[in-house]
Amino acid sequence: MNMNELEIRVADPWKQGLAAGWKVTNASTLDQDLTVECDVVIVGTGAGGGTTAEILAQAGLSVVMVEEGILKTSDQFNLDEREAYRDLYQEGVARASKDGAIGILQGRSVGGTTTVNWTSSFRTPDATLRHWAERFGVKGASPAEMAPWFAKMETRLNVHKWAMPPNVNNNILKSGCEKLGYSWEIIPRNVNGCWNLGYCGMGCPTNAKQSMLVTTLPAALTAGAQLFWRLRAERVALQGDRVTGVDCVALDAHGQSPTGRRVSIRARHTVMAGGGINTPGLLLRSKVPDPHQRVGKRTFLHVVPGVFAQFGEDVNPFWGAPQSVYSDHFQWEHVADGPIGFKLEVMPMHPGLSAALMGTHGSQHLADMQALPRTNAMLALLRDGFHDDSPGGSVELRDDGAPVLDYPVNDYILEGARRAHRAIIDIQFAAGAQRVRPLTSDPRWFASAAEARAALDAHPYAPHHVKLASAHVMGGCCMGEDPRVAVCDSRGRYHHLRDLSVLDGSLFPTSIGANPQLSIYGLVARLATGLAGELKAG
Amino acid sequence: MRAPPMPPADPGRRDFLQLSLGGSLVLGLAGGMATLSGCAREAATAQGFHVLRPQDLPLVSRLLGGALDGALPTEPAARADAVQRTLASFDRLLHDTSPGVRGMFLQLLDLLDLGITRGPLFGLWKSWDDASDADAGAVLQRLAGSRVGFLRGAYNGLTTMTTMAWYLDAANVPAAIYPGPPKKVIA
Ligand SMILES: Cc1cc2nc3c(=O)[nH]c(=O)nc-3n(C[C@H](O)[C@H](O)[C@H](O)COP(=O)(O)OP(=O)(O)OC[C@H]3O[C@@H](n4cnc5c(N)ncnc54)[C@H](O)[C@@H]3O)c2cc1C
Ligand code: SF4
Repeated sequence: MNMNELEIRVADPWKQGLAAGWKVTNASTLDQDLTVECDVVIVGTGAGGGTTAEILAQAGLSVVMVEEGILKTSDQFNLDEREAYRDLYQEGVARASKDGAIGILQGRSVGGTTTVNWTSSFRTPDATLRHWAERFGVKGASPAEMAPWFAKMETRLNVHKWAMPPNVNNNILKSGCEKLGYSWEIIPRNVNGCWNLGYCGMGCPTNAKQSMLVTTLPAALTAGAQLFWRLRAERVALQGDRVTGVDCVALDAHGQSPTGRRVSIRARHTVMAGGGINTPGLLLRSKVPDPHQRVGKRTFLHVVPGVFAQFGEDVNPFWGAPQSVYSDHFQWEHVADGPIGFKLEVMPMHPGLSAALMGTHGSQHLADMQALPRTNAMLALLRDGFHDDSPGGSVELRDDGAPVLDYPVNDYILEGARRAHRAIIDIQFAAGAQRVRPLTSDPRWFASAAEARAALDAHPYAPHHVKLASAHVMGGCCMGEDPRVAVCDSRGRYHHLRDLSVLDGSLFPTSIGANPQLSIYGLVARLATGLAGELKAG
Repeated sequence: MRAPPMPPADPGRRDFLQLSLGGSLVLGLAGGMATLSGCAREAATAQGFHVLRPQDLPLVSRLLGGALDGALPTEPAARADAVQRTLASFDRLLHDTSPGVRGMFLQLLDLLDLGITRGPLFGLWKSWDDASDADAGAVLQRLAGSRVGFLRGAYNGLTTMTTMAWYLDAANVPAAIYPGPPKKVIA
């Protein structure tokens, strides 16, 4: 059916919770400075922060959560692209790597990136966990040790393989792989009563998505935790080699400028869960001891090249569960010693973001937009950080103290993009595409795989000549036992200070090789449970 | 099956890197010269706008005309009206991003506007006040085909902002492109 004929009427759990007395403060309205004391302050309310908050609050610790983004809940999710990008994404969806060569999608609201993510839920691949143990000396995270934590979070967030038929956009990946004899699988999703709408990236209007916004954060608030939003953690507070909390600045309603009001939060333990780029940025801004200059290094992106394909019939890539099929056919041939592996998926296409991705102008842009309903967008997630030629990027601070990621797009990544383009083209034509357009600076469409391949062979693979993006920022506070390489130990504790943990995706020593949310939930659930035990004991 | 073999490294790659380095050199020099020559840029925002400055308005209007050619109405009054609306939309996009991104984008607009860079880098030898939508289209076409990384980056930034400014406005998106979302009703 046509989604635009549907009417959504769903109760908003935040309405009830707030009425029942949840402690939630909009810092933009503060008219005085505040000092708050608690057992644990958590910076960030995304995958890592939400998971941590629920576990610590339910263990009976007093918890304060700090989120610089807006609080928006299902009643306000009106499925408008512009509002979603403005309110729910970092830098109004315009975040990019320092030279602008990689667009970076990252969330910025209560619920963090889980408020806008697409619900694909994969356990950390065994090969990745083994690599971390072997190369980075990570302890306690072997596949066997992690399995119960993934299982626990799968239950908590209702992760199941998607049971409905994939939408046409996803089915193209499936049928192309089948024709070519490539492996493919159905994606597990963290949803409960999903309406199969396709608007996960704008805030789920039905609360079906089991994001932090409707699961762990309400549970933490019900257990007595306190939430400040539109409050930015500016610096960690230091006393000798101890961290004693965070100093925060209130932001105005628009979310960009400080109002001048400050909130000092003093805590026995401080947890950073601001996500990749932002967590290392906060540490850099705080000028914490970093004798080996490791903070912000090894930041990974699952750098994404893509190909558009036009079909003879409707794809309607804007509707239906955004991701339900994947292929790891090109993923694990080499773990760390060969060309980069990649996961294949598709992406949902709404007009605003599609317009930007087209990378053309004038009459061609219009023609490409007019074909949107018949367009499939297939992506490869390049598994960066495993090979020595893939050191990732480093986080730096701009003049105003805001973090920015310098991610040099090197030959290793570019050759991966070229191989991925070729692989995707084959799949799209096998699935019946009429013509394809690899997303490069070459605006042409190609009606056969041979033509497309020839063009790709001749194409200059260089930064800005290949469209690259990322929705998965990982690493930058690498965990491991060797402080010359790692920022945190295997429990997420900062190597050079006491009472400071990092509990989010920035802990990963490499990228994951799968969409990262469940990797964060599982790892953080384990580490936060350990932290709760220690804090309770004394 | 095994992954396809790696294609040979592109022999032209080094040139690109050097050229794009050259691009940023030009940028730095031009900025410096503009400052030295006392060619101060108007920093105040234009009336009714959050971010765009008076000198940005003709430039961005023409770029919208070039980037959205075909999508914009052709009848002159309707076209002018649509450009004006989209200018405001473009301004809001800049307003809603971070100070860092905003600052970089304004620098790019300066390069497009300043006489000493506009001609050599963008191939436009007249002021934006005298330029037509077709001139702006030619600038975009030149950037699109450039082998210089920095100029290609400029193309990506300009097309992203102009096309998003248009397509993020639901009124501009015909049902044949996107029939729209389900209706949300507060329960
Ligand atoms: C469009 C999109 C789709 C995605 N789809 C999937 C998917 O299908 N499956 C999947 O596994 N992953 C997906 N992801 C990625 C996944 O959601 C993220 O990797 C994950 O949420 C990261 O968790 P995190 O805890 O590291 O940080 P986040 O979830 O990003 O949370 C960090 C929070 O901290 C806040 N913050 C940062 N710094 C500060 C500060 N100084 N003060 C106060 N607050 C601060 C931020 O505003 C943010 O809200 C997607 C991402 C995007 C953008
Ligand atoms: S597809 Fe499902 S989870 Fe995503 S927005 Fe729609 S109802 Fe929510």
